[in-house]
Amino acid sequence: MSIRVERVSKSFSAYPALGDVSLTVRDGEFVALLGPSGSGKTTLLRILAGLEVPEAGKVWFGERDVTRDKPASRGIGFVFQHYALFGHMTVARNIAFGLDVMRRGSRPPKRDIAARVHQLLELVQLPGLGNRYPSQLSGGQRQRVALARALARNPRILLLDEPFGALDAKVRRELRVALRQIHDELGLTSIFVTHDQEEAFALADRVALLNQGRVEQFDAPAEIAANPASAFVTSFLE
Amino acid sequence: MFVLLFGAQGWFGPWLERHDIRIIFALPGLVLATLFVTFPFVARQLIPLMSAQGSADEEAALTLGASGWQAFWRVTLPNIRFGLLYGVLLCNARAMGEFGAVSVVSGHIRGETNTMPLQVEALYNDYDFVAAFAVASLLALLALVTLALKSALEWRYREELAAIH
Repeated sequence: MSIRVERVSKSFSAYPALGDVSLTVRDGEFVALLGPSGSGKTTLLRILAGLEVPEAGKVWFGERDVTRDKPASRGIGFVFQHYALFGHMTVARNIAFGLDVMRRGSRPPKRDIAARVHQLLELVQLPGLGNRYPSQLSGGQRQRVALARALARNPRILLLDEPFGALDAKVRRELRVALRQIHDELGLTSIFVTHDQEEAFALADRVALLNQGRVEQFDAPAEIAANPASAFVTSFLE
Repeated sequence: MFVLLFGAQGWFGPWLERHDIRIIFALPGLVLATLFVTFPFVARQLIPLMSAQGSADEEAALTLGASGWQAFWRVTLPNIRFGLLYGVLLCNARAMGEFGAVSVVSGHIRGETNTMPLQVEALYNDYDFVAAFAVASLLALLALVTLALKSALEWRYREELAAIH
């Protein structure tokens, strides 16, 4: 599903986090929001998720204006930097959470939920770990579970907030490949936040470079490298 | 404060009297007074725990399609369950021994509005020392039981408690 951000502004107690940001992400694209800390990239992602409400501007998913919609009704999956798995639930219950909280009329029967959990564990390459608790898993495994959980309700849009930030380099590379595969396989539209330039350039179709709440450049990695749009872009890439 | 609010000359006193609702010198008064002095124990226990845990889990629940209530019941409450239990235990310990506030509000109506500490005082004032000490011993015993429960909880959930301090 395409995503359109239209002149969005947001500030936190007088300090502006985003100033008049516009951005269009095409259906099926994999986009990275790249920038130094405090550049507003996480704020933009949280606005897309509905966890923050912009002071001005609009957000469109396809033809739908979702600016004021609650996170629950946006049809998104969200992956947090520190996983945010529910520690008192098993991996299987964590993954099933999105389905378990559905209204009785629309909720699939238990057997279907179990089958779906099984299928998602296969997708993230953790078959058979459903009965473990998050505390019994490694960081990389936890993030895979978080990814499976975010995908349980078949979102069309996947939002990831520094998904590999807390992982070591080797696990990070493995997970990157897995994420890109899942994105292509499911035909998702994905946006992920990172401050790691190499990661953004390796993974994304297009990269949006943010600085002080503004988009400095939004282009394919090769184009950014060849034609940096501003002095900031040049210095950031060095 | 409760006497000022709910007493005969208090703000709500005349209205309550007209509707034949008795709060002060009755059971609701005792309960209110006890809640007032013991709730801070639960709050003291939970506020640092909840601010340490942050809101990421709740946000995760919301993005997964949960309503606010579902997020609270399925995620927030289980996350704080041991802190809450611990707070309730401390609260209970305080409630058993509470004397001052309850004494003012209850009006010492025997057999109707009485708590164990008040009973000790009443018996003692009647020179019934044996009974007074018996009740006091019982209170001490309850205190020991509470202490044992507290230690058991602390031992069982030591990791979660470590997150608070």
